[in-house]
This record gives sequence, C-alpha cells and structure tokens, in this order.
Amino acid sequence: MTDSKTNKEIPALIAGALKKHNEVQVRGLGTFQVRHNQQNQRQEKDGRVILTPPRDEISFVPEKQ
Amino acid sequence: MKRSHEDLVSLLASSMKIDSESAEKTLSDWVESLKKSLDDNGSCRIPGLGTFDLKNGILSFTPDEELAIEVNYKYAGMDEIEIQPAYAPRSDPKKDDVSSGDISPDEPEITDETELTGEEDVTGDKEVFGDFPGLMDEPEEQAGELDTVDEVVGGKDANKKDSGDIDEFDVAEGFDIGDKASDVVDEDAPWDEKKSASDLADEIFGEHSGGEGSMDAASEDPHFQSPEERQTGAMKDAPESKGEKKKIGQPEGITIGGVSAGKKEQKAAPEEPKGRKKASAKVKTAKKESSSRVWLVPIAAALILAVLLFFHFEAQILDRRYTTQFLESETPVVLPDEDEETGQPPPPHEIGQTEDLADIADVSPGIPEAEIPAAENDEDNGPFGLTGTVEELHPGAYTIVLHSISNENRALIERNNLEDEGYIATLSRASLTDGSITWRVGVGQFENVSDAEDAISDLPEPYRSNNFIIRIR
Repeated sequence: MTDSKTNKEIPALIAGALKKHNEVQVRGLGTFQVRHNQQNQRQEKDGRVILTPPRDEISFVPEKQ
Repeated sequence: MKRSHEDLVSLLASSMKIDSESAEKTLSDWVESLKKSLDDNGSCRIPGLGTFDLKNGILSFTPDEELAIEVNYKYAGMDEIEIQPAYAPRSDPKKDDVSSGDISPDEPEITDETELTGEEDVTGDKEVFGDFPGLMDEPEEQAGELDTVDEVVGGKDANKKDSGDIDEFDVAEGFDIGDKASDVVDEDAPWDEKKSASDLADEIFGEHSGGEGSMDAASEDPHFQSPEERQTGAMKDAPESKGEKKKIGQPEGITIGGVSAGKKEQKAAPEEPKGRKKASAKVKTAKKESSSRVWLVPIAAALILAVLLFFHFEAQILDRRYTTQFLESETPVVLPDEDEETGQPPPPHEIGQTEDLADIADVSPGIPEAEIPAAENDEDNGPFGLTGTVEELHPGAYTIVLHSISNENRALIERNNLEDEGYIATLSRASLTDGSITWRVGVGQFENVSDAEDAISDLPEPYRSNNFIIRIR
C-alpha cells in the first residue's frame, strides 16, 4: 500500500459512486451528491427568453465542524 | 442511493485488498492529508475528482470537468436555447418600456392591472420561470391589455409587489416566492402583518399614501408611481388597501383576501372603460403608424421606378457605346469562296475594340467634303464604287464594313447617316458563331477585293484603319 495508490483509489471510488449518481459521505470531509437541476426559463433584460437545459451536477456539502 | 462512510471503507478495503480497519485508517489519513494541504495552501486538487478550496473557513468543491461531464452524461451537449428573440427596437414599445424601466403613459395602467390581478401575477410568474416553454405562449394568446399584464407581471416587480418583504428575487426560487405571494393574497393574513406593512409605507410616503388610499387607486397610480415606488410597490400596495379599508370602515380582523377582492371589484368597474379608451387610443396610434407607412409605399415605388429608368437609359447609352464601334484595326478580307459565317471576325472584337462615342460622333458627319466629289467620279463605274446611289446591291460584290452593331435600329441609323454623306451604304445581317446576330454597316460595292482595298484609302479616319471587307450576299 503506497500513498500514490491511496491517492488514486479513494478519489476513484468517490468518482465512481458519483457517476452512478450515488451520494457519498466521507467522514471528516463532507458529503458529495449529484443534484438534478430541472430545465428553466429566464427572461433577459432585452426581452430574450432563454431556456436552460436540465443538468445533473455534483454538489458538495462540507461536514459541520 | 447513499454510500455512507462505512460503505466507502468497505469498498476501499475490497478494492485495495486490505482489512476494513486499515482501510478506515487509510481513508482518515487521506482526509487528514487533504485537510492539512487545504490549511497550508487554501486549495487542493485531487486528480480525477476535483478541487477543494478553503475560503474564509468555508470548504467548497469544484469537480473536475471530466467528472462533471460524465455525471451529466444524460444531458451532455445541451446548450441554452433562445426561445424568444430580443425585443424589436420599435415594434413593441411596451416591452421596451419594461426592459428599460422607463415609465411611459401606458406603464401605470399595467401596474394597475397588476394590482387587480394579484393572483394571476403568480401564474404569470410561473409562466416565465416555469419548466415548460409552451407556457410562454399563453400570455400572448390573451387579448388586449392582459397581454402586457402577464408579460410584465412575469418579471421581478410582480414578485416584489406581491411578496411584500421579499427584497431579492432568486430565479431559482420563483415558484416558492410565487407561492408565498399567493399565500399572502389568498390566505387570511393576520392583521398585524398588514399593520406593519402599512406603517412602513406611512413612514415612506407620509400623508400621501394615507390620503390617496381613500381615493380611487386606479386614478392615482398612473400619475403617481415612479421607479422607486415600483420597487417599494409591495409596501405601497399594502397601505392603500389598508387605507381604503379604514375608510370603508370595515371591522378589523377581516381578511385581506376579502378586502382585496372587494377592492378589486371596485377598481375593476372604473378601470375597464379606461382600459378600453387606452386600448382604442393605442389602436389609433397603430393606425396612424400604419397609415404613415402606407404613404411610404408609393414613395418607395417611385424611387424604384426612377432607379429602373435610370438604369434603362444608362443601359441604352452603354449599348450604343459598345455597339457603335469600329472593328479591329486589321482588315480581315473575306475571300470570295469563304463562307460568311466562318469568315467573320471573332465576337470579342465586336465588344472588345471600343472606341469613344465622341470620336464616332465627331467623325461620322465629319467626312471631308472634298473627298465626296472625288468619289463621285466613281459613279461612272456604274453600280460599283464608294459613293453614289445604288438602288440594288449586287450579290457577290464586295463592301467595306465600317460598323458591326447588334442593334438593328442603330445599324439602320448608321447606314442612313452614311447614305446621307453620299456613300453607297450597305447593311447586312450576320450570324456569329456564338449564335448572336450582328448588323454590318458598310460603304461601297466593288467588283473585286483590290478595288475595295483601294477605296479604303479614300475613307476618312477612323474608318480608314478600322474596317474589313466582306462580300455582299
């Protein structure tokens, strides 16, 4: 077990879980989760109405100290 | 599905083939090293995961782009779409007013109806910020002023007015705020809230709001509201309703919903004709605009006609310039046995060797008179010669071509000019190899080529150097 292997393995585990849209809790750090943003419309000042597509994005909630 | 810390430890243990205790220790060591790095540098990048930043004691995480794309694989490549273009500069002044924040004479009317349709405001908000693009079309399908109302109400102002204490409007929270607003309007709000709102407004507007509250709000608003007031519209709306309520003398404790409904009815009655008047005024202005545009049509047509006429005459001049030309300086002599069609000069010469029209004009009438009497002696030779009058041309005789013109009328004019100058003028039609037709204007008719060549020397310039001999057919 080497540091470099650890440094690769743990992020790979977290990333793998996130790719499956799983929530991952790391004690002492926080929680990673995938949040779904629905499509949205917004109106610009010049009158344009923009449709924002839906997207899944990673959010991180740091652990409360 | 949630992966807890324990799940992560077990996964780590199985992937690294270690027991769970050492896996947990490894994980905690990793977290500690990460925290230490954050404390030292304020930022730490984990390859394959993302970057942690520690700013002001708040830990934030930005995923790597690759990971973010993979997580968002369902919607990869979807970009923002513009489903409604920007306002036209002058086509829709109402929207311009809204966007620029200017208060036009129409604007207060919009705000009036915004007040009237307090509950509809929320729906208008949903239409703009909702999930379905199709809803955007609904406001436009409604007739009259309601269009404007819904469109305007979709903005932040409506939320500010209805939601009262909500100062900042978050787009993402549009629904929530909208719901709040509807709650405030629909549900029985406690009188204390209204009281506080009215007190606030009284502080801001002083006597003005109190005095005007008893008056017809529909008549006051159009001249009263300013952008600043629009921002504090919620506070203003509340005291108006309250002032009215006080005036009416209804007992305290009655719900806002009831009062506002009654107020709506009172307002709606005087409001409608006014709205119609304004609508008809708008129609009139629109008609005026359209009538002014109607006047533009004949002017534009006249302009186009003038331009077309200009080009037509210019084309005629150019045609004359290009067709009234002298052919190549060399004199290609058509042999007697040569077919005319094959012996013709190539078409480019027809256009390529252009002479100034002024030169032609100068030369055509300018044939020296001294030559004519000398040429008249040729009349003794019968129908042959350079000058004189010949009733009938002799097929097989030769003529000196001076002009090759595509326009028949122009060729006739040139022939007549030459006749007027005393020449035996000939006009023949020739089909060129490219399919075009040209009219050849020549002078004289000669029994053989050498006579014609001799006669060339009698011609004035530029005919002397720009001609060729053909056989008359």
